[in-house]
Amino acid sequence: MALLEVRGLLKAFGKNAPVITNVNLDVQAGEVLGLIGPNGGGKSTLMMLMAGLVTPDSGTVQLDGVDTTNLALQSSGSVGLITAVPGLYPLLTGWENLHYFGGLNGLSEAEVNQRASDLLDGLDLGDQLERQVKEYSSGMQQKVSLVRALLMNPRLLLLDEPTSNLDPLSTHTIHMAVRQQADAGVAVVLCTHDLHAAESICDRVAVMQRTIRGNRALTGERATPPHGQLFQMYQEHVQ
Amino acid sequence: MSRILHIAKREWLEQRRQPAMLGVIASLYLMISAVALLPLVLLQIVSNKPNAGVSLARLVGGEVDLPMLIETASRATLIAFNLLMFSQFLGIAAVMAGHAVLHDRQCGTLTFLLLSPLRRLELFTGKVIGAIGQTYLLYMVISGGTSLIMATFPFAVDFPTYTPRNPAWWVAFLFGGPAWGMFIATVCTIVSSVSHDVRTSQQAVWFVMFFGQMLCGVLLTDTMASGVVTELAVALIGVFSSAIALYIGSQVFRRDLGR
Repeated sequence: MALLEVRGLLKAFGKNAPVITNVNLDVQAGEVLGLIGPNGGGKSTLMMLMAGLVTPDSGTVQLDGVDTTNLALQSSGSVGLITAVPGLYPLLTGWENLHYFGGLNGLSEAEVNQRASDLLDGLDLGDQLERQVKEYSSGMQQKVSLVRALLMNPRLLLLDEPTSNLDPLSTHTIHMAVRQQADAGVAVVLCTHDLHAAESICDRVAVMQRTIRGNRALTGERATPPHGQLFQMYQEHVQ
Repeated sequence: MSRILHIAKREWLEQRRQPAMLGVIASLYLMISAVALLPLVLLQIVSNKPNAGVSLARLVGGEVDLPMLIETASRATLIAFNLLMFSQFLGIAAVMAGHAVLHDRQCGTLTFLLLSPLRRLELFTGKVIGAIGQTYLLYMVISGGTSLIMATFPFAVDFPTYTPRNPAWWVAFLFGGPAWGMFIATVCTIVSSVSHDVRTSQQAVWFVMFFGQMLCGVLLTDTMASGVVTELAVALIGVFSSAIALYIGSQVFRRDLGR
């Protein structure tokens, strides 16, 4: 049984055409699924649906048998999320942000310090966490966001274009950390426009595309093709 | 309760990192205090002059009932101070709360707050308390301090209704003001949670603030003359209204970001 099961998902906003139509998806523990597709293809909405932050009109999203819309209250910290916007308080230091979000999930400052110290190894943040977030580069903010996402040892890690504004080195650091988490048994869904990254770290890829009726559906789900062939696959499905 | 305080403490920490903002609020309270204390000091000086009545009568070219004039002016000053004290506290609470949730939406932190195992009422209450906590502290220290100074003036002995010499004043100051401040802040936090941009939020907050200030400010000051029981009833209505508003706010504030 897959760790994450998405079945018959449909979501429309207001009276507009559905953003997501009949999406079915399985993600196993320890697997990285790449989610690619054009802008406005419904990828971010699908990520929010999987996180339980948007309620589907029909269909289900279950993590280990628990509906994700109830997940936050029933199973705290099961889902780690990183979005393109790091989502940190600019006037607080990196540590204060981590303590705050850790505290909301029931962690004491000492527990946050201990868990974060392990996670910070290799992220090259040094003593930067003592500074206010407004002084951070985009890459540093995203690394802190990654640490926050991993603080609760999530079983599912959702990454919505986490490296869209980052330099190659920061991108590489984050991708390596994500792969490391997958190797440790975390199920990962990576939504990205970076096909090279998808080829490098994803076990499988799926393409979100507009259907003839204007809806967005998931097509072309398959094992990551050999290097250089993902673009061809993308073109076939999106055009 | 600990999670509510955890949310509120973060709000306070961020506010302390903006000393200019707290400085503006403190300055407003101090200006109101100065504007009230100055006439009282002047009236005190005039009343101590033995021939002040004669000089004043010569100045205006007619008869002047100096004790009556001083009494009227003192009473008006004390009423005006209390009215401004409450209405400004309520107004500042409204402004602070008006971007409580909107700030999280703009920082991108709302997504992560909703992902945490918080109940909506906890998150909402934490936001409201966080928004008004430091404003309340400044109100207590500056407006409370000014009122205690006023209570030492001889006029306050003669007309104690609008000073800390009146027990009803303490009920209004300690319970009524904060209770109605909580209500106004809760309504404005609801506004901030449904607003998608600062302009919309500001316009709605201004609307709430205007009526809130007028109604609550006048209500709290006016009922001081009616005694402790009436003032306590006004405070309890404020507490009850706040509780209802908090409940409504927690229902309006959904975990669903797609709404």
